[in-house]
Amino acid sequence: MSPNEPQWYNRLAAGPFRQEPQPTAAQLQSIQKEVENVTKPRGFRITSVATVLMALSIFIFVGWFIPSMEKTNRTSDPGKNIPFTGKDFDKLLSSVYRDGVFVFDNLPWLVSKQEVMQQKLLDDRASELEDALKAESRYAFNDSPLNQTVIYRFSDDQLVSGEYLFLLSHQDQFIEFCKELKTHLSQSLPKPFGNDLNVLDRADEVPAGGLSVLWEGQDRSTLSVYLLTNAGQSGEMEYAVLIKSASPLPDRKSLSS
Amino acid sequence: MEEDSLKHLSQVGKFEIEHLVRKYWKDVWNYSYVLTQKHDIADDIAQETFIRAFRSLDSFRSESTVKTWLLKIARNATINYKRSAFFRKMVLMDYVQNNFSSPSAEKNYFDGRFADRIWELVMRLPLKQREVLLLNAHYQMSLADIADLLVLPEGTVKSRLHRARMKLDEWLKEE
Repeated sequence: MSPNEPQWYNRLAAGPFRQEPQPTAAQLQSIQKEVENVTKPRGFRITSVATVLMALSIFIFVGWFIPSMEKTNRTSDPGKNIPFTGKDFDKLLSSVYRDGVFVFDNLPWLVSKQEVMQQKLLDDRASELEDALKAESRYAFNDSPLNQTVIYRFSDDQLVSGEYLFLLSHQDQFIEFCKELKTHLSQSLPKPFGNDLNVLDRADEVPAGGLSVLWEGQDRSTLSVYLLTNAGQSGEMEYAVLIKSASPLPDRKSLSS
Repeated sequence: MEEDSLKHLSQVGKFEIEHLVRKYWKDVWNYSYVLTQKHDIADDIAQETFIRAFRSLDSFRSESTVKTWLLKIARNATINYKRSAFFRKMVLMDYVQNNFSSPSAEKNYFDGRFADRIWELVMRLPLKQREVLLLNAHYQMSLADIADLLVLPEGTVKSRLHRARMKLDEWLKEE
């Protein structure tokens, strides 16, 4: 043990669990099978198939995916159906809070999916999820790219909740975003129901489970703000702010009624 | 099978595959578990790590140990997993319901099964600090090797490790 190491260091020499993890027979078999598949000399056939697949992928990407991205961007033009453009926090908050209750994107609860699509000028591409509509856009926040996703969620074809998801790639940008959001939340909304706004000051060290603040409206609709972080593809961090508004729960029914 | 005989996939037989998997499974699995804190995901990542490793045996360089090389692959597999999982949980599923309700049954079950209370405290550390502490304290890796694995400057590794140790010290004193 190095003299600089704390006393408790040797307690971490053994693994986290009493019983050491071991591969099961099925896992071993699966690994062997996968490896054997690679070692079999199928040179020309594999190369040919791979080439065809690669060409097909490029064709699909160029012919379908890129045009579909353009189409999605059109439908989610921030000027048309996205109520919020980076710094416009007041506009965002007024779209979720009105007269003591929470709504989502200026829409009344329980409207149908079709009505939302018409109102927000969304096409079928936004409707690929069965019980949700999704619109994405990208713009700058403090000179850095910011990805925004708006999700409308339905139950029995009735709007029951919605989410604004903001993905940021730099911690400084994330901290700044949370700071500005906190200022506007404190001015626009009543006191939170669960946790407090100081959570937004902790953007520099968000734990694995995230941080959240919750409000409840007079009709028991709710608004939640979540701060989340995640390790990205090459080790870089991703930062997310999720603002979720949910409709009031239906009245409780009694078996005797 | 020893490390110097890791040459090319075509030279690795069925017996050697099993031997290597059994030898390093624990290291790869523990690393994946500490990064993800999920048993089933650690299983998947460990399996994926060995498949990737055997498929790219010729990329193994003898300047690193087999264990470090496998940990590097496991880390990439974990990052890829988390990236896709992040999207699923954030966008395609209701993140709130899945993650912010009461603790999962799995968490409750395994929380009581750590070999030492100290592991519970390690799991409370932020990911960046947890990972560095694990590599240094559990895998006995030097700062230079950790920096190489994480593709970070050594100074960053040092400061993360320092913060992790300070926190653990503080939490242990509180107990």
